[in-house]
Amino acid sequence: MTEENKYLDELFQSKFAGFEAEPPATVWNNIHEELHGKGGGSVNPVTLALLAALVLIAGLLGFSIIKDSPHTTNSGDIGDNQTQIHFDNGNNAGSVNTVLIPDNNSSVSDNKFFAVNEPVGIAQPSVSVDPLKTGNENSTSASTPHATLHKRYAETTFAPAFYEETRLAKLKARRSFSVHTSMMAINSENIQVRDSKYHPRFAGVTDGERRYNRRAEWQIGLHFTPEVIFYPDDSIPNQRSYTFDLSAKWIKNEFFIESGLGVSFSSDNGKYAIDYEKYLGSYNDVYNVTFDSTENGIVPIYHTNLVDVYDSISEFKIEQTKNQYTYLQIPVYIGFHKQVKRFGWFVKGGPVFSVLINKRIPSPDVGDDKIIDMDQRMPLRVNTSWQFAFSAGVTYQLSDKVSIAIEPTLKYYLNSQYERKYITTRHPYSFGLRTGLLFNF
Amino acid sequence: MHFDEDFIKRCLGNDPKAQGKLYQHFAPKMFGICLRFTRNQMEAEDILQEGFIKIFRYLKDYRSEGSLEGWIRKTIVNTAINFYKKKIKYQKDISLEQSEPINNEEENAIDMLSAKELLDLIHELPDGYRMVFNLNVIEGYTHKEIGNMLNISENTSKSQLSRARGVLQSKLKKKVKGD
Repeated sequence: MTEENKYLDELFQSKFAGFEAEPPATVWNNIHEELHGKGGGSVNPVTLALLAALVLIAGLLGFSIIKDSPHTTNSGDIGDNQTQIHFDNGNNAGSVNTVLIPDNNSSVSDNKFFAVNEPVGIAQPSVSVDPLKTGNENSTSASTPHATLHKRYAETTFAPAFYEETRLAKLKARRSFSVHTSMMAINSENIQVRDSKYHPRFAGVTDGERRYNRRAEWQIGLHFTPEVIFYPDDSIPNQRSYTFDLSAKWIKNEFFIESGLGVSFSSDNGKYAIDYEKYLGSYNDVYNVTFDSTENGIVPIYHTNLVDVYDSISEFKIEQTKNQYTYLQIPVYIGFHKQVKRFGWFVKGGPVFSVLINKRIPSPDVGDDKIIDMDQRMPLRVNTSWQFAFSAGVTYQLSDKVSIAIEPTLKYYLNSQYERKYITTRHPYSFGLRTGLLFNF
Repeated sequence: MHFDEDFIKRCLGNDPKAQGKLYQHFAPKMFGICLRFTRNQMEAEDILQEGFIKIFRYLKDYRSEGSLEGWIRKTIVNTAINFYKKKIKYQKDISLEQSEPINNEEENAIDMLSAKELLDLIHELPDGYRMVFNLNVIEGYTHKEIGNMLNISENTSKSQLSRARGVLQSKLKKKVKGD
C-alpha cells in the first residue's frame, strides 16, 4: 500500500470511528408498526374516511334543518300564496297583530285567508294611512285598520297583473306604513314580513333578479376531473388521473361547505429487472427401459420424461408493465360563491384525503424462459395520501334546478403517493379541470 | 450500557419497551454506517429500518459470547450489501482522471474536513466503489470476504477499491482547492 493510500484510509477511518447520526422518528415508528402492527383499536382507513364523510354530511343536514325552522309566527299554517305581517304593538309587549294577505288567486271574502288578531279591550284606530296613495289621497276616517287593510287588499286582489308586478314594491312600502290609533302607535320599523315564497334573502331585488339569484340551501354535484400530476424532482413522465365524484354542498349566504366521495383512476409504468435463462426446446429423457415379450420377439418399452432445455448463459432484461390504481377521494372544501343572474363564480379550498382501494400490477410476460431472479423496479405506491386543493370556477344556471360548473383546480400533495425510495419528490402538485352538473334543492 | 440475557429475552418476547431501548441505544451509530453505504439519507433510512426489523426477528441467533454491537453492526452491513447487490451488478466502470499526489499543504486542509464533508464525497462514489471502500477500509473485511459477499472476484474487489481511492483523492483535492 502506498503512503498516499495509507493516508487516505487513515483519514476516513479516524473521521468515521465514532460517527453517529440521529435517524428520523419515522424509522422507529415503521419498525414498531412492522413488528407489532398498528396501534390498538386501529380502524381501516377507508371505513374511517367514510364515517367521517357521513358524520360531516349528517351534521350539515341537521344544522340546515334547525336553521330553517320557523321562529316568528304563531299563526299556524301559512299557505304558499299568503303573506304574513306581524305588527308589534310597541307599548303592549306580547300583543301582536297578525294579518294574512291573500294572493291574487284567492278570494278576499274568504275569511280564512284574512284575519286580524287584536288584543281584547283595545280601542280601534280612528285614522288610517294608505301607503299606496299620495299624502293628499290619504284621508281620515272612522274605519278600523282591519277595514282599511281589507279595502286595500280587496283592490289589489281584483288587479292580478298589477299585483304581480308590484307585489314586492308594496311589501317594501308597507315597511313605512303606520296606523295611528287613539291608544297605540304601530311602530313601522317593527313590522316583520314573512313570505313563504319571497324569502327575506331575496328582499330588495327585482323579480327578474330573484329568478336567477335563487341559491339553493343544498346542492348536489356530479363531476368529472382529468388531472395531470407533476413530480419536479424526478425524471418520470407526468402522471395522469381521472376522477368521478359526487359532492354535496351546503350554502349559507355567499359561503359554502362542500364534501363528497370520488373515485380516481390512475396508472404508471413499472419495471421488472429479470435474470433469466432462455428456453431452447425440450427432449424426452429416457429414465427407464423395460422389455415386453410379444409374438415377434422382445420389444423394448422406453419410459420418458419431457425435459425442458434452457441456455446455460443467463440473460438480463427489463420488462415494462402498466400498473393501474384506484383511489377513493374524500374532500372537504370551504368556499365563497357569488351569483350574477345566470352566471356565478366561486373560490374554494380544503384538504383531500385519498385512499388506495385497488391496484392491478400485471406480472411480466417471459414466455417459456426460466426466471432465475426478478427484481421489481417499479414505483410502489403508499396506501394513503393527503392533498390540499384550491380551485376557482364558474357556474352557469340552466334552470332553477340545474347548473353546470367548470373549475380549474390546483392540488398540492402534502405527501407523495409513491414510496420515497422510488420517487424522491416529496410534494408533487397537480392541475385538474373539474367539470360537472349541479342540482339545486 | 450492558444488555444482559434477561433484556435480550424481553426483546425476543416482542416487548416494545425493550425493543425501543435497544433501538435508541444503537440506532445513531448504525444510521451512521447506513449513511456511509448509501447515496442519500432516504436509502439509509430504508436500510436502517430493514436492518432493525431483521435484528429483532433474528435476535435468537445471537450468541452471547460475542459483542451484541458487533452482531448488530454485521446485520446492518449485510442488509446494506443485500440492498445494493443487484444494483452494482449492472454498473459500468467510470473513467478516472489521473490526479497529482496530495501534498503537505493539501493534507493539512484535508485534515480539517469534517466527517459530514467526507460523507458527502462517499455519497458521490459509484455504488460498487462505495461498497468495496466501506467494507475494506472502514469495516476491515479482506478482499476475499468482500468477493464472497458481493459475488465478485477478489481481483475485482481490489480494482474497485483502487478506483474508489483514486476518485476520492481527486475529489478531496478539488474540495480543498475550492475552499
